[in-house]
Amino acid sequence: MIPRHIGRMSAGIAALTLVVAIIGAPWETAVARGFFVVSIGFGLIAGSGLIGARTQFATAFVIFTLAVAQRLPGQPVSNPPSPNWTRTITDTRQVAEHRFSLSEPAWKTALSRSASTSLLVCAEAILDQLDAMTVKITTTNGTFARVVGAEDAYGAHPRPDRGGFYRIPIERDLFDRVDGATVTVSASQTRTPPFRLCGTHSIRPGVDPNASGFFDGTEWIAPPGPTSHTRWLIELRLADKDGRTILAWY
Amino acid sequence: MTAPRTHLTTLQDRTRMNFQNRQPLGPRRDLAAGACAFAIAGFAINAVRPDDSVSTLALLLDLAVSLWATMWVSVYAMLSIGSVIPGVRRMFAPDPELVEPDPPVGSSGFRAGKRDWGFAILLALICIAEWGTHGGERNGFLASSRPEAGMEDWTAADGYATVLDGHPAQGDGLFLLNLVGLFTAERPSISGEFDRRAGHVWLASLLQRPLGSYWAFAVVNLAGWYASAIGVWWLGRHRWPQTWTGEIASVMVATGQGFIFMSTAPQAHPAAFGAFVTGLVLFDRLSLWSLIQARRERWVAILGSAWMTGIAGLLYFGHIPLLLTTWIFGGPRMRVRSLVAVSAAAFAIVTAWQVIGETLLGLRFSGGNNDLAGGAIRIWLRIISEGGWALRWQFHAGSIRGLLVGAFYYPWWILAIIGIFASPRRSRDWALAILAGTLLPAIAFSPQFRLPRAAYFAFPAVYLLAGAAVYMISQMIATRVTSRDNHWRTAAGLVACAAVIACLAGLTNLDLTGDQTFNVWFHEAQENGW
Repeated sequence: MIPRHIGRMSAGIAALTLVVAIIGAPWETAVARGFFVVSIGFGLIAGSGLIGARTQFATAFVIFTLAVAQRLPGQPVSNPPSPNWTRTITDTRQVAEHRFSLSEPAWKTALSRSASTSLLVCAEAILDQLDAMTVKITTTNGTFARVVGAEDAYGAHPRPDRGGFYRIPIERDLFDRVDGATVTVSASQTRTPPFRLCGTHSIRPGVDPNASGFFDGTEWIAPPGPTSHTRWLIELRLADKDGRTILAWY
Repeated sequence: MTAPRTHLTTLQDRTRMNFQNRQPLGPRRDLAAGACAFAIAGFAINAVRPDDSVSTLALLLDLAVSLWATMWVSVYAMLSIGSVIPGVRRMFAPDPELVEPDPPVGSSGFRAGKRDWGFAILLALICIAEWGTHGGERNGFLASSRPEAGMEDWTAADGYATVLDGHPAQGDGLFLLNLVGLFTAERPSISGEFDRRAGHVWLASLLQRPLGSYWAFAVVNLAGWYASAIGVWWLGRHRWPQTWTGEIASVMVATGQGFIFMSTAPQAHPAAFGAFVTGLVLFDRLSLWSLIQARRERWVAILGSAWMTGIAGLLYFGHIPLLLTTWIFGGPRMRVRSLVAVSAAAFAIVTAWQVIGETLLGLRFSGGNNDLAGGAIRIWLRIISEGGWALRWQFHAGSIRGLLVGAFYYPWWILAIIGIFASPRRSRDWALAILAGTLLPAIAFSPQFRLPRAAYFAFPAVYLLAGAAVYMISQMIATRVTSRDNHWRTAAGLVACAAVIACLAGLTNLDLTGDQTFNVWFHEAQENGW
C-alpha cells in the first residue's frame, strides 16, 4: 500500500513539475522546458521506479525542486568578455604596449630549457612593406626592434577579416637574468594604412591587470577591451631544440 | 590403430562436452570476423600499390592494426545484425542466452549492505577528487589546446578558453549560453552550434540559477561521471557475478581518461556517457535481450529502452552507439520487430525535438557541429570513389590505431584483450557488442575528425573486460599465497588489484605533473607513431 501511495505522489509531483516549468514563462521557453521536462524529467522519474517507490519519489522531488530553482531569481546568464577584440592603429603616434613580468619561476625554468625565443603579435591585416608594423622589445640587456611583414605570418595566417599571428624571432641573450620586458607595437610609416591589433582577456592568475596599455596619440589609456582584465595579444614563446613550444607567456 | 581412435574419442568427448554445455560446435561470430578482417587487411596491404604508408615496419603495423580493427568491427557488426535473418543466425553457434535465460537481476545486483554503501561513497569521493583536481585552467580539454601542447598553432597562451562566471573554461561553453538563456527565460530562441545537444543544456539550466553557468555545467559533468561509475559497477556485478570485476571497472571509470579530460568543461560528453551506461543497465534490468517475456513485459522493455536511447540522443549522439549495440547484441537474440520498434521510437524522440525546435523555436539544427556527421559520410563516399589506394591511404592518414590508443592507452587494451579470454562467453559477447557498436561510429566519423572522445563510449566494455583480467590476475596471485587463512589470500588479491588500479590511475593523472601527453592524445588522437 505504501509504495502505491508513494507512486501516486510521485506522479503528482511530476505533473506539478511540468506546471511549474511552463506556467508564466515566455512561450518559447515554455515549449523548450516542457519538451525536456516530459522527455527527460518524466523519463527519469519513471525509470527510477525500477529501483523502488521511494527512489522514484526522491527523484520526482529533486526534479521538482530543480524546476522551482530554475524559476527563482539567481545568477544571470552573462556573456563572458570577448576573447577577440581589436583596436585599429591609424597613425604612427599610436603605440600599443605590453609589459612582461619575467621573474616567475615558470618563466625562468622554461627559459633555461629553451633553445629559442620569439615574440608573437596578433593582427587583422596582411602586412607588406607599405603597411608594416614596428615591434620593439626592451629589457635591461638592451633593445631589439624589427619591422614586421607578411613573411613573418605564422600558423593560421592573418587576414583582413581574421586575426592571426606574426612571429618575430628574438635573441635569447636579451632575456638572460632579466625580470621584465616591455614590448611596443606601432605603425611603421606615415603612409601606413590602418591595421587592427588583436586583444583578448587576461586569465592567468598573477598577471598584472594593467600590463597592457595604449597611447592614443595624446595620452596613455587602458586597452580598449570589454573588461578591466584585457590585454593585447602579444606573447613570448619559448621553444625547445625541436621547435616545440614549451611556454607561451604574457 | 591407437592414434585415430584417440582422436575420435577426443572429438566425441568434445562434442559431448559441448552438448552438455549447450554450446554446439559452430563458428563464432567474433572469430569469423577476426579471420575476415585479417584476410581483408592482408589484401589491402598487398594488393594496392606500395606508398609511404608501408615504407617502414612501424607504419606498416600501424596501417595493419587500423585496417584490422576497422574490418573486425565492421564484419562483426554485419554478422551480428545479419543474424536477424534465420539463415545467417543458423551459421553460427547459438548464444548462451538462447538456451539459458540471463541471471535474474536481483541475484547479482546491489545488496545495499554496509560494504556496498561504503564502496559507493568511495567511488563518489574518487570522482569528486578527480573532478576537483582537473577543473578550471587544469581542465584537460582546455590545457591540451594551449600552444605548449603542440596541437594548435592558432590559440593564444590561455588556449581555446572562455571565462564563465570568472572561471576559465573550455571555449565551446560560450556557444551554449544562448540555449541556457532560453531555458532560464532570459533570452529568446537563438540557433546555435549545439541545438541537437539541448538536453544537456536543459540539465545544466536546472542548476544555473543557484550555481551559475560554470558550476552548473561542471556539476552535470560530475553527475554523469558518478552515474557512469555506479552503472559500470552494477553491470560488472550482473554480467561477471561472484567476481570483483564491477568494482575494479568502476574505479577505472572514476579515474578514467575521458572523464578526467572533460572534468569541468562545458561539454555534453560526461552526461552522454552516463546516459549510455544507464541505457545498458536499463536494457539488462528490463531484460530487453530475453526472448522469454510476457507481451506486457516485452513492450515495457521496448518502450523503456527506446526512451533511454532517445534521451542519449538529446544529450549528444549517444543514441547511435546505443542502437548499434542493441542491434549487434540483439540481432542474434531478439525479434526483428522489437529491434525496429526500439530504433523507431528512439529516433522519434530525437526527431521530435528537431521538429519542435525548427517549427516552434526557429532553431536551425545546421551549421558547425550539427553538420559534422553528414560531412563524414560525404568524405567517405569521395574516398571510396577515388579507388583502393585512396581508401587504404585514409587508414594511414587517419590512423584508427591512433584513435583507439588516444581513447584508451595500451595497458587498458592489453588488459581488455586478456579479459576477453578471462570472461565467460555470455559476458564476452555482450562486451564485444558494445565495442563494435561504439567504435563503429567513431571510425565512421574519423575522416572528418578523429575523436577519441567518441570512441570513449566503449569504456563500459573496455573497463569491464580489463577489470575481468585484473581480477583473474589477482586470483592467480592469491592462490599462490600459502597461508591457510582465506583472509590473507583475499588481502593478497586486493593488494594486487589496488596496485594495478593505482598504476593505471597514475597514467590518467599524469597531467597533474604538467605532462599533457594523454590529454593531447585524447583530444586529437595519436598520429602514426606508436
